[in-house]
Amino acid sequence: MGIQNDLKAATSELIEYERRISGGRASISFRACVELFFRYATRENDDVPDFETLNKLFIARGHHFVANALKSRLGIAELGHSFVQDGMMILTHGRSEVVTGVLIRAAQSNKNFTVMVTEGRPEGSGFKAAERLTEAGIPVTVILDSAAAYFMERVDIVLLGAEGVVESGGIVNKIGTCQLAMVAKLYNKPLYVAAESYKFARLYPLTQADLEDNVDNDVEKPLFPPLLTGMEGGTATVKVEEGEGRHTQERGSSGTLLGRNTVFDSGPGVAAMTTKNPSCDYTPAQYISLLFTDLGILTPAAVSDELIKLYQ
Amino acid sequence: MKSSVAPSGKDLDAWLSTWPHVHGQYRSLITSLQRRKVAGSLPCAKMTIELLKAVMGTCRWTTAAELMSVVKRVGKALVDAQPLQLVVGNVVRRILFIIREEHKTKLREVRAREGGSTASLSDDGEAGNELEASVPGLRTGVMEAIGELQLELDNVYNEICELALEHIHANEVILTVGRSKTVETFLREAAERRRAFEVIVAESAPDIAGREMAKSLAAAGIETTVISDSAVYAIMARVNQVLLPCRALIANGGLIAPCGGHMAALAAKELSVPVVCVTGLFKLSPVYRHDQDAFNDLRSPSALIEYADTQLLPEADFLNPAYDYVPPELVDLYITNTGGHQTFYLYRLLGEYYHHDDSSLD
Repeated sequence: MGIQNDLKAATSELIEYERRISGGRASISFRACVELFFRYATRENDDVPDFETLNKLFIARGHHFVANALKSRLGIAELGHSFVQDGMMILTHGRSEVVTGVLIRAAQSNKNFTVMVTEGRPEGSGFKAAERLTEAGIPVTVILDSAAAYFMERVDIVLLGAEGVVESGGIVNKIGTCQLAMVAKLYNKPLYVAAESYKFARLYPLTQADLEDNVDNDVEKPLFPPLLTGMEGGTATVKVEEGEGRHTQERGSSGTLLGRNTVFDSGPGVAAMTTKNPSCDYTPAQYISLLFTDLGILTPAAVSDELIKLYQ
Repeated sequence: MKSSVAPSGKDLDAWLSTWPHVHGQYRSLITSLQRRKVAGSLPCAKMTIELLKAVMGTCRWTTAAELMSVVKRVGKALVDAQPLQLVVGNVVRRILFIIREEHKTKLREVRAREGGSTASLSDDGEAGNELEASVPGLRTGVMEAIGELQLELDNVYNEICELALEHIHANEVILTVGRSKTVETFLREAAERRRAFEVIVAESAPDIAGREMAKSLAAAGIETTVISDSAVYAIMARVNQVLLPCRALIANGGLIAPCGGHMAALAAKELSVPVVCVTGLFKLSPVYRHDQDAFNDLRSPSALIEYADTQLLPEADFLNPAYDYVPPELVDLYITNTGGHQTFYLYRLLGEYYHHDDSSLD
């Protein structure tokens, strides 16, 4: 059918575009979303009398899909915020709109809690998340990615977003998620994932190597880019915690945590060195307590069921 | 003429008073829930169904949406009367689900008769508006389905007991905590069918309900031993399986057990003894536990210390929690009226019994 071919062509073009702009890989959620849209818009069209009606049906479904995707974030915030209780310390990693939504919704219902955000090397996405949360009046502490285990004993729950949710109920998310989840499991802290259902992907990774296109030795992507580029001049204050000594510093001022590390900029050994810099990792389902999705609150085991329903 | 949409909160009482018979039943159930007069989850569930049936049969409603709002409002009042009795909320949600299903079936029948296209634009998630449509035969359909639900509850113990011989093997040593009608019936059934086994009952202080349990089991000819709660770990090495009683099964696969259940489950895990929970699925609640104290109840400390003696220990606190939360990873199997299920499968059953839009009754 013509329209199907058109949509297919558009799909692969979109994925190619995403691959180009994101430096080598199209995100799992993006691909899953495109595929779902395609499935959703063009399903069961056998008993439609003429092309005109069919076309209208496709377009209506398309609009409905987009509207649903936007609505789902609000729905997740509504479902998930009750897991945030007064006095909690919540650890999060990376920047996720859904997680921010849940936390802001919890703050709006007058709960007092603290959020601990890992800085999220290499691009420092944690700072962006911290900024959003601080603006919403939530006390935020930024820590090093490598300090997650150090602080885990003080944490009550771990709340993460996901780039993709796979068949097993595991997630693909920003690099560092897997080790964070392992530490959380070791300390018996519940780990919750907030993700929209369009991020559900029909993938079944078994090892980290199964993540398609995950560029782990991309020399173009520096290990130590300056963090907070373009973020100077703000007024919000983010609390930065280093070791036992705590101090509050103005965002953007140079401390060892925020500043650029110049160790690898020069020196005789640098040329011979290899660096690896994968952008995401796979976290198996066994580390995840529950997923907050627009389809409801799911156990990891429920994901494959929902995936089957989505792709029916 | 009063509106056919039920109001919430205090106004509900006035609205229901139009129908004195239903109103009386409603008031008496609310009072007995508040005063904790109804003992046991099963009677609670049955009485809730009876009331909701009376409400449906008597009150004014024309569409599924209206009926659901009446059920929700009445249900909310019942849940608020005794929030710890989760079965009430379960039954209300179950009935809401039944209404949705019946409405869908009837509507499809109507559509098929009219010969309309099934691939209408509105099949894409605008079902909320469809509940407004009035369909014939909804009342009888819903009543029939609720009758089936009542039948299911009447047979709950029979169905569970059918599985007794499959799970209790000859010469096994079984440990249980406190008293539970379900566990008791299950064990007695196995004994009646001439299976020889031994039961160890932790007495479950301070209400020592375990001793009552032991008495009943011994009377059925089962070799029964009573131990103190602190001896659970010591005796666990000899135990073949732990049968946990259950107050409520919650959505993540965990369960609310009588106090001491968590300790028994942990001891069993440490020594690799399987932990099995015997329960009717009417106790499966579509709610999630958010913190340590959720769904727990602090009972009177008088069971721990006489009031007069508190003068001697003015600085000490006495706590008497009623329940324990047992996390899903500690439970190996649920034996229910629909057969044995593993922990991770419970989410699937939730989908069969409840609609996720009904998780909040507001």
